[in-house]
Amino acid sequence: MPPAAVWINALIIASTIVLMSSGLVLVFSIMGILNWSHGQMYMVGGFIVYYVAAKLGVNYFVALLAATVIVAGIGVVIEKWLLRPLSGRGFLPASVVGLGLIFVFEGAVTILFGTGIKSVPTILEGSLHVGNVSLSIEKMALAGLAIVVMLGLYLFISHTRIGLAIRAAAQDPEAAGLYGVSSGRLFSLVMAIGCGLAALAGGMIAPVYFVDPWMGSKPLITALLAIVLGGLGSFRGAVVGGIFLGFVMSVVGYYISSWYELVAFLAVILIILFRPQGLFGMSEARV
Amino acid sequence: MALLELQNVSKHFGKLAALSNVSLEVERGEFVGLVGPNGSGKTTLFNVVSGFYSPSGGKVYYNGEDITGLRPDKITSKGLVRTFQSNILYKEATALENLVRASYLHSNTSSWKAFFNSRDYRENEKAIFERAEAALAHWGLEEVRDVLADELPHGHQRRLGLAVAVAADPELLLLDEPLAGMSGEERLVVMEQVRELSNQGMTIILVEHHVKTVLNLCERLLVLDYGIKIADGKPEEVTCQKTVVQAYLGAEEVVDQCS
Amino acid sequence: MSRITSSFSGSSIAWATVIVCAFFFPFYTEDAFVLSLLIPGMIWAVGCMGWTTIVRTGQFSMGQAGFMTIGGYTSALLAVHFQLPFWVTFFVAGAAAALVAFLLGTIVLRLGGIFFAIVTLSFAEVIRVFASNLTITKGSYGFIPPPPTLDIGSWSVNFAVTKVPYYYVSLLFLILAAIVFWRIDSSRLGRIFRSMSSNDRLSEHLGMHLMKYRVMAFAVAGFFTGMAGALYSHYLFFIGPTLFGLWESIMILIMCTVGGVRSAVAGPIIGALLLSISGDYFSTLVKGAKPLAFGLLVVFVVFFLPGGVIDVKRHIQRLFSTEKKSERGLQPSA
Repeated sequence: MPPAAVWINALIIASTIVLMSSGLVLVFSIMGILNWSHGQMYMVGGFIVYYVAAKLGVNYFVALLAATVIVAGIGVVIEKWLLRPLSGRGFLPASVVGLGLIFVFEGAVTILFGTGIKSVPTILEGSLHVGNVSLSIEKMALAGLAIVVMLGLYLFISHTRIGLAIRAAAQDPEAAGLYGVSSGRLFSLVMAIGCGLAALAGGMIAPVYFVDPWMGSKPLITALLAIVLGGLGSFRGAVVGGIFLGFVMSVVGYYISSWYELVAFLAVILIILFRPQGLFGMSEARV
Repeated sequence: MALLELQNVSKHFGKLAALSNVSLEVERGEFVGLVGPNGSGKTTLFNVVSGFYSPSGGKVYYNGEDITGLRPDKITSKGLVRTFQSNILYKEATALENLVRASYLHSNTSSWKAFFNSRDYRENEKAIFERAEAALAHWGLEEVRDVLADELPHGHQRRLGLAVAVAADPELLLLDEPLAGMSGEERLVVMEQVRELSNQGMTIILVEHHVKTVLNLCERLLVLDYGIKIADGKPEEVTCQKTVVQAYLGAEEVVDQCS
Repeated sequence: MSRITSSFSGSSIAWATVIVCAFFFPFYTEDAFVLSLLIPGMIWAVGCMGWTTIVRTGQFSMGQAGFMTIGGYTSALLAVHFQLPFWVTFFVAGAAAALVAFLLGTIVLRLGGIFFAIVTLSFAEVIRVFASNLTITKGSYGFIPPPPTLDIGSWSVNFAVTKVPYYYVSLLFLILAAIVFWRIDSSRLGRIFRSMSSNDRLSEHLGMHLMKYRVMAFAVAGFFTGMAGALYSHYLFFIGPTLFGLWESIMILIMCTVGGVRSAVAGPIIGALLLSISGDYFSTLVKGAKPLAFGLLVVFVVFFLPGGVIDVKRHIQRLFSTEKKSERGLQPSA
């Protein structure tokens, strides 16, 4: 049984993956495209937190909010000017642009901040002692934040008119219009939420580990694997897939440190072979 | 032995039963119409027969052979060709190129020979191109030989789609609404060509919304409603059947024929 | 003839000229710097032709770098542990990569599309994990493959001193690969690939076995990409787990897009050479300039030059062409 600290780490990792995967699947199911630059939103979010909190000395949570909002804005710009005009041209141009943006962001951030890793100072000192177990307060607070955000997102999607429009659009892009939200506005909103979630994940990870310009690729890959496991169009699937991968990879990583990525890959191969629609996907989708 | 036989074929999507226990036989040379209201399962039937879907239950036999759940390309190679309601062509290829691609089953050399450009292969390619040109002429499409399929007028696209299907050398041809969106004059031309195919011995199952067309062409009608076969017989008899009239609710042409 | 078929008709003379020039180039300049730009460019060009071939069957591979790693390690391991000559390990590397491509493709190409892209992306990562952690691959330290040796009679080619022998090997490799990919593209196989890419459902219903051809393209691409990885690592005198990664997979994609995916051979070669040469310039500016420039370039190409650089040639050809091809529409009549 791994020590409690591993579970808390797993919780953090799982939270970030869930934030990433739910943002990714939201964009995919509404807009039908995979945003390959999603990992860059994570990275830029982390860097904004670094810059605002560590360099400018602003309160961490304000920095986190700023990162979320700014990156959401970047996402809207990308969606409106780069992705939407390509919507009639099949999957290749949108994917090429998304992947090209990976280079753009990594390059830009490297130019601005250099290649070294940067750390963000700990925001909450101290640990909680429960019995003979010592848990970092900071990590627990961040994990708690992630849970609150996910709950908020769930409530938003299931109980507001706009959330209803989002769910309708996931079934049929024209349906959003029935709820008084134009599909263009909806796409922007969904992209903003998706990228904002990624930025939040990156910002959360910053004080726990560190930031560097290439930190976006692993979370991207993991989020992609999570949504395949959960079922490509399924929000619930993304969450469950993210939790599953986050915990499995952390626990496996504790025992055999480097092979955890292989575990994720094998899980996806198995799903593809035996249940390609994922855990929660629609049955008989001829994908 | 029937050319095509369905035994208790069902297809479920989750709780939705698109086809329920459909059994039918089509003999060689028949020209059968498959009709039914929207959503009655006609396209699903085609999808199951052509291998695009595996049925949830039942079996499909072609020429006595069990083809249930086989891959579409294997089924086509046996002589069972189906067309689609939409997206029936290679949009960014010319009419000629479409027909050349459709002649895939006529290639009789291995991939290795193709790669090394052997004499057999070159002759085979020449034959394929000649065949495609001949098809263009036969279907009245010579003028648009080098026009991209996407840029053809709708009627020409439909005609080309039919030509493409026939290029795959069908013994049994499943046509899914081949006349959709055509003007009256175009319909007549293509109907004639389809009738000609039937006269030459091809077995045809035609899905068509326009009831008059089907009555004119087919000697036998199959009617589906909610995935169930509700009628099977001569057009005059079938159209007066109560269940069929009820299914169509307001297809006055149908009622008019009956005494 | 379909307008998207890449065609060498009429430009065979141009190609012959280029090849002859390429052969005599090192006599013109033995400048190691220039060669150090061209050699990687030619090797990447082979990787790019592989990727483009896969794209032309309608699939999107994000893991080609993984095959370069497989090829690099296979060749280096065989050379170091079994003292096999480069000329053998080179091809075994290709075969190993092709085998892995075959197995992976058989599993994932049935679904294709997005699944294939995601799994190939993850696959390249997994290869890196294997390379970092198996003792035979010496972990993240990587190791040094010996340089090739070539002895013809009494004449011995020294690969360790100048880059010129590598130049010729790379050039011959590029020419061989180009012939193979060109031959595939202009044959019935290329036609089948294009059919699948254009409308896979229709192709399947016209009798084409989708899986067979998808796996074929993926395996052939894997074969050459593996060899490219082997050649590159012998050239660099190094193979390590992070040598070919996500970055390299994206580079290949950018090179192919900039060159033009509508062409099976010319586009990838032009894109690879162009970006290899200019890439060096950008990396001397400031760290980060190269990815930024390439990322912006590919976005620009997607929007303003979707057919890539190769399309510019076609636009110019069209301007000067006196042929009247009725490619645009039809007079409204029967």
